Amino acid sequence: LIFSEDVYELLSSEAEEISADHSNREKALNSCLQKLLPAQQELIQVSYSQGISIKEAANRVGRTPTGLYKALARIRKNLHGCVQNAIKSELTEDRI
Amino acid sequence: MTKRHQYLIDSYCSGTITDNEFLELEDVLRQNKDVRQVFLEYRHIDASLRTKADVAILPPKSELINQPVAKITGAWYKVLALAAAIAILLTGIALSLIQTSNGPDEKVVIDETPAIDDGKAILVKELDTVWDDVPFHEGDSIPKGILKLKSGWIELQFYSGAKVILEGPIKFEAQSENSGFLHSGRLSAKVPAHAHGFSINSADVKVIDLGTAFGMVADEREGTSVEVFEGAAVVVDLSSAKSLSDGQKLKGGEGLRVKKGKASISIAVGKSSFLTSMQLTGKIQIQQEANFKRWKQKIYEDKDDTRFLARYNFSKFIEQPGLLQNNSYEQIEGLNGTIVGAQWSEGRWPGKQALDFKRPGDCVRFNVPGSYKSVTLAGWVRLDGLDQAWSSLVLSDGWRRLGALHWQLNGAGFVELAVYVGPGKNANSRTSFKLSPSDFGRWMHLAVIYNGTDGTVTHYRNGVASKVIKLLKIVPIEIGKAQIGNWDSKEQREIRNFNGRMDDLSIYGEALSNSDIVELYQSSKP
Repeated sequence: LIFSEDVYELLSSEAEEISADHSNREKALNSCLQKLLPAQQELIQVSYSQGISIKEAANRVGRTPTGLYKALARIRKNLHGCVQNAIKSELTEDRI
Repeated sequence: MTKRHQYLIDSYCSGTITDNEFLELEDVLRQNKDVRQVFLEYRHIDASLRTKADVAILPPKSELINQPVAKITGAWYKVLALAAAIAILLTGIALSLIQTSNGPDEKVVIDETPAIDDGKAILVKELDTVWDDVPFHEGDSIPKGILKLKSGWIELQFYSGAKVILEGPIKFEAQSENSGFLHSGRLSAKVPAHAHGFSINSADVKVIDLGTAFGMVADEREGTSVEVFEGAAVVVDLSSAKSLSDGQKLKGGEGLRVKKGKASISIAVGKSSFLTSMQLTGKIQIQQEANFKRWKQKIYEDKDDTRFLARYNFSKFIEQPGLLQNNSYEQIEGLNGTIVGAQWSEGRWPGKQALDFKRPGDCVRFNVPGSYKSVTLAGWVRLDGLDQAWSSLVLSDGWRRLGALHWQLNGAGFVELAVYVGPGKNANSRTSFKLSPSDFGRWMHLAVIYNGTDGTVTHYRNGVASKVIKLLKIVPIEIGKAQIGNWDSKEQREIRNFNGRMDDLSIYGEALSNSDIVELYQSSKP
């Protein structure tokens, strides 16, 4: 599962924009994480720590792997929306 | 952004994406800038979360100690590796994704990745081999399963250290790291002290080595004969012995023939009828010298062949060690390569030179002028590792230029030829074969034909074609300024150096035929 060179090229050149905005995004993500429910925070903590399989992670939080995937997808979507909003509003503030 | 797009991104992030979905995702990313943007935003969040989970909110150490082996399953590992590849471009810290050091108590085991060696022995020498079935070559790991050698000789070294020379016709199986089964044919074995206990079975006997060199012949009609040259071995008649202790001990100079249902008889030892390892080496050397001569002769014969755009024999000029001389008929200045960093070293024959590419800056710079409907590239390479996302063979400088060509290996071991045909759909064609760590350190002939007439790309390895790839769009090839063994991206310096040696490289301004490639391989192989 490695991207073809052309896709990789497209992604990497566009990734520069996002990376230029890295600190803002980090800040936004931090505050968005605070807004999550404690149970959601725990899900992230367990699932994203290094060297753990999804199965083990699911075990630890008392869910099935499919359940965990779904929950994580929801959280990611949540965070993504929250971060994008925060970035947008920051940009607006900058303009003011 | 559709629900399907969202689903694909989610599957990618959670590592559950299937191969087909990945191709679909790739296609969507290729065509849809909005999806790319969202995808990258997701990747950024993912990478950040991973770093945070590791650094700030890692579960207490004690918990990890209770789980001595934490696992990253295959899918997760793939995602991590990919995330790292892209995340390097996103954030500097994201490198820690796969490189976060693990304490002594935690060990990360990578599941499902194909880093398993199911070999029992290595093929260390071969001479005049004709295979009846699946062919094996020097350097190959030999897994379980019957080897069927029609004629010629091979030497196997078992992982235990024991060596056997097989003489065709023979059917033999490496059963474990220290045992084999002779179905029929002739072999000789030499067992070093630490591999004692090495055994070979046949239908009639089990031969257990006690520090020895012995010969063995198995034949359906005649039974099995065992001749001990030196040291001692125990021969167990499988039809009569009740246990291994019923075996008969043979010393150097003693031989025995055993056949089911018949009494065993002593036989004379004819050591000279078996080829020794040294004799085999000698024969191989003679053959290599002949091949080297034949190749030199071929170079001479080809000197007027105008199909060559560029031809590099990799012979060092004492006066100009920094020059990689082009030997094609038409001498264009730009075609003489300038060696940067790469070191002269030994090539595919003793006494033949090659360039060794190791460090991120190592390369040969050259310039191939002109525009060609079809091209063929071929050369001998010795791959020493696949360290980067891509390892360069021959790459045009930069990328977004019509006709720019990238001949390279990707990190997974596929050989690929990418040609820039404009924004959007690009002609990236991968081999159906994949190079693996067992290919490291041995010479192989790689070739690729870009055929602009029928719109196909065909890769070759040691004269054998990979599946023909039909291209969606064709443009004339304009290699232009380029590098051998590296890439000048023209932007940020992405490390893409080749790790290994190169010896013999030819670029043709037309599509060679299948038989041309076979002939090329045959006439240049060591």
